[in-house]
Amino acid sequence: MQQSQSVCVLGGGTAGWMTAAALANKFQRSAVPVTLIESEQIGTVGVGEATLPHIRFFNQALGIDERAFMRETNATFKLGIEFCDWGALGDRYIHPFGDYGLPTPDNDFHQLWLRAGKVSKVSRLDDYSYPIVAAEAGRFRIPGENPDQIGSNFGYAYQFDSNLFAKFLRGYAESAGVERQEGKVVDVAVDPESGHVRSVTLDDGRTIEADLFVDCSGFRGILIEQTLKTGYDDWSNWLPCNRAVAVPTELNGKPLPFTRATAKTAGWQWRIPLQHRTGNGHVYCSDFATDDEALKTLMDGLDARAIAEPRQLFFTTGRRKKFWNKNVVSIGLSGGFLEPLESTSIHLIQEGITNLIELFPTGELEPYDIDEYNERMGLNFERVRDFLLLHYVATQRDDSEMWRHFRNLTLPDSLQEKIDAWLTRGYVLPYEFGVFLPPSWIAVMLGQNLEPKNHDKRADRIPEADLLRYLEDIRAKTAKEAEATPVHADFLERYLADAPQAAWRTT
Amino acid sequence: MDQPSKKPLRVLIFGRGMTAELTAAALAVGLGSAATCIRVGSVAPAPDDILFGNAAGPSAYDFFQSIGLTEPRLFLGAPTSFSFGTKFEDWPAPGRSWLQSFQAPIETLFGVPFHQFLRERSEGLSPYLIAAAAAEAGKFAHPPEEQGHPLAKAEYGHHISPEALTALVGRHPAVTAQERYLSDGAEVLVEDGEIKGLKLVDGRTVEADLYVDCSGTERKLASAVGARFSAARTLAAAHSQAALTSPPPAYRTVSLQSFGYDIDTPLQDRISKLRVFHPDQKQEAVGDEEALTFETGHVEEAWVGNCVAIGLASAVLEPLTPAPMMLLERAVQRLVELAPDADDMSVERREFNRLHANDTKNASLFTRALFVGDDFPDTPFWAEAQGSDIPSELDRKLKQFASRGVLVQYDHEPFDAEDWAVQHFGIGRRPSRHDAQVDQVPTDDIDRALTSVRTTVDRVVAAMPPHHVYLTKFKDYLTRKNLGQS
Repeated sequence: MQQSQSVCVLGGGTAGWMTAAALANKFQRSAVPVTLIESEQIGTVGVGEATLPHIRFFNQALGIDERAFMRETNATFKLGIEFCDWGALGDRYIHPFGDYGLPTPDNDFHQLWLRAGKVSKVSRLDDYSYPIVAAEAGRFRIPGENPDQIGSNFGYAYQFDSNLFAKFLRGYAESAGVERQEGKVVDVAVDPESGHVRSVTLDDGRTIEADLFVDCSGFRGILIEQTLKTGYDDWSNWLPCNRAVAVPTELNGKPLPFTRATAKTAGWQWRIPLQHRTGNGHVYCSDFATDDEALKTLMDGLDARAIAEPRQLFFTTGRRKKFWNKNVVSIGLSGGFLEPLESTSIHLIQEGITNLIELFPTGELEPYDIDEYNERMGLNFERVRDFLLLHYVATQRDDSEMWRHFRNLTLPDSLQEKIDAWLTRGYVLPYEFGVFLPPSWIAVMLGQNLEPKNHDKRADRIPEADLLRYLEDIRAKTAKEAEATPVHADFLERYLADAPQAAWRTT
Repeated sequence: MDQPSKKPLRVLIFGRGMTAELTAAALAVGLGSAATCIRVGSVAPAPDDILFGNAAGPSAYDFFQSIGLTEPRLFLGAPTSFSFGTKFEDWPAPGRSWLQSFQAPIETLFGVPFHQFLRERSEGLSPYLIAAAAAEAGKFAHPPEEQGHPLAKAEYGHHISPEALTALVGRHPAVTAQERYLSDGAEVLVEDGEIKGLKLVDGRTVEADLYVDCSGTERKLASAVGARFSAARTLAAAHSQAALTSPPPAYRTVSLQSFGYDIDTPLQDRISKLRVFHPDQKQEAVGDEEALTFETGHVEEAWVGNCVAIGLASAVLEPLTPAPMMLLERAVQRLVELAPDADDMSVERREFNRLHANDTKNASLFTRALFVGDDFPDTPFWAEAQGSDIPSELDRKLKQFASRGVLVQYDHEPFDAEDWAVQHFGIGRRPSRHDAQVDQVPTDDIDRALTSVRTTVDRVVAAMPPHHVYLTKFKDYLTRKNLGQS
């Protein structure tokens, strides 16, 4: 057996407890000692209440019962994100978790649809997506088992209270042997020779040593930045939003199975329905709106009574120059920040944890492990960045300084080429490694009125009448499946009615 | 009835041999009446098709199917045989032989990549791979569709005869229907970086919107529009055929020689033999026999102006792996997908070139990795093979595997993680550490699980028929059912 490492996780928010729980689960037998330091005096940002379908694999890997988890975190199901006012004021579309139509042997479904649109009036592409049609009707059910069938070829995620998720995972992690230390870090000892963090000292004088530190201390980056001075790549030139103000409201009606992101004049506003309340927030750029204006925008855009005081957040979009530096791995906001327009915050935490587990050090730290981790996480961040930027630049809006700023922006080549290929022939430049695959790009580009001039010539081989009949068949089946789907709130109620208790004590 | 929305694209396909015929068939079938294909070139094999090394990997199956080259046609219309991979003999040094088998994704064991459990095991990966074990035993059977069956994990390709395929595809109705000029010589008329037409030997000029260069290593059209070939090394190859002296196995054999290597590919009725060597070692390799001298490398941009280079005209890789055929398949499929409008091809050209660059780079990494080791002979061929720089992408792959068995993959590589694992273990690379999660599993459990996999592989292989028996019965069946014409 290779030598195991002791780990100290600094910070007990979503990132910290996800990391601690996963490490405790994965390294049970070799008994990697995991200590987590958190202070109840320090609030957590509670990033991302909305998630991507990948979170289900995280929970499954930890053996977490879905219903117990949903009940404890006030979770709702999520089929996608509704984007309002992005392409133009008054527009709306849903970016679904799933493909459009059904797979066809020689053509992407959207290419058939593009061709059909040239010869006849066809329904919107959304009408061939079960998760969109179901979401619009406020319906939900778990996908069937055959992914080639309409009504089964989609994914789903959750909208949950991330503070409750952290608490839930705390129970899991502590029952799996993670030692929690209450306290604030007041000092950090660094080995003068190696430059590695040797120990942290808490406000009550205790010192905690570890071989590996995972910095989940949020924007402050106590170890990765304040101590190791790792540096930060500032991406504000691409994504200039740098502040957010958030406020929860009472639930207005039954919770919908999707998140909403509404474009504003200086940013955008989120709306995330949970079982017991709705999370709201306004992400904006301080160059284009004052804090007071941003708050007013948020409050004016609420559809129910606020139930807490608004909270202000400050950030700089970008990434740490090294996510893993020396013996410190930064996971969560300490590693970088990308606005939660596509619910990627928790996903990037998950990616960080998955890669850390695969490259988990054994014995002496190996530079190869560190280099590989940094390569992978860098690619993840960059590809999410390009996808987020697409939302701001695929627009006809010019009604504010912010939108005019984006209209004049020179895009990264990778993104510009992607847009050009789409506009020319509905082609999506593919990549294999990255969270957003072609259907996501199609959803946003088409949803924001980037209409391709041409289509794939292979779509021309199908006789027009056959093509239209095929499309209509898919549309009708999609509508029928959605109609037969229960209302989300009803499904949720039934699904969670006899949810088991978590196998551990939640705090 | 096809109803294209625009005037058909006029595509001129220049060249002869397998690339030209496959491209012509794929464009005809894939684009239907959206394109009109014109052929310039004789119906004849191309001498440099030997550089495909007779190897078509699993990915060629769908490609062949898409143009009507079903297995019945491949086996009754050509001397095709089955392939579980390539056996590298005495590679990198005498005594080390291993099978680069085709393999579906290897299942994880206890949630950890399978190969992570093999670091300290001398047997390597092959005994756990159904295709490798079956090939070594001289067995073959079609993998069943039932996913739970152990044999379903085996993937297979084909040993092909480019010459026979050229003739076979040349008889494809969609190909015979094409307007064809049986001329191998032509003057390329170029204006402002674009081809305006081909002036044939008889004085006629043929014009098109898009020109596809399938002229192989000659690169006649691509050179005319200024495509730059980035050469890696100069090699020579001699091809011959030999009679079968024993039942043919379902694998190619690449055996290392001081002057280069020999590739023996068993076809149904003969062995196709290819000797690849350094030109300075010609005497040692083939004496005064004739040989084809060629440069490995690739054109920096496969699509220049209105001319697209396909196959050996775009890249020449050593025929050690099915990479030459894989690149051909990908390029043809890409051209069908990106078939442009005549008036503006800029977007399609850029994307085609991006993917061409990725494919050639990634395939070259796999080939280059076959020359990484300390024990290769000290001769001109091997010194040169090992002498070129190791690209940073390959360096990362090798270092990560050596460090702890991590299989680094880039976007859409022709060779997947399994291919790389098989090569690393086969050539004798071992990680110095393993995934920390391996230590979570008790040793007894690992032993039991590995034994179980091996036992299953052995049991399934034992029940499989010999390749030549299967081949004979398969052909009998196809003939009886008259499927070769279907």
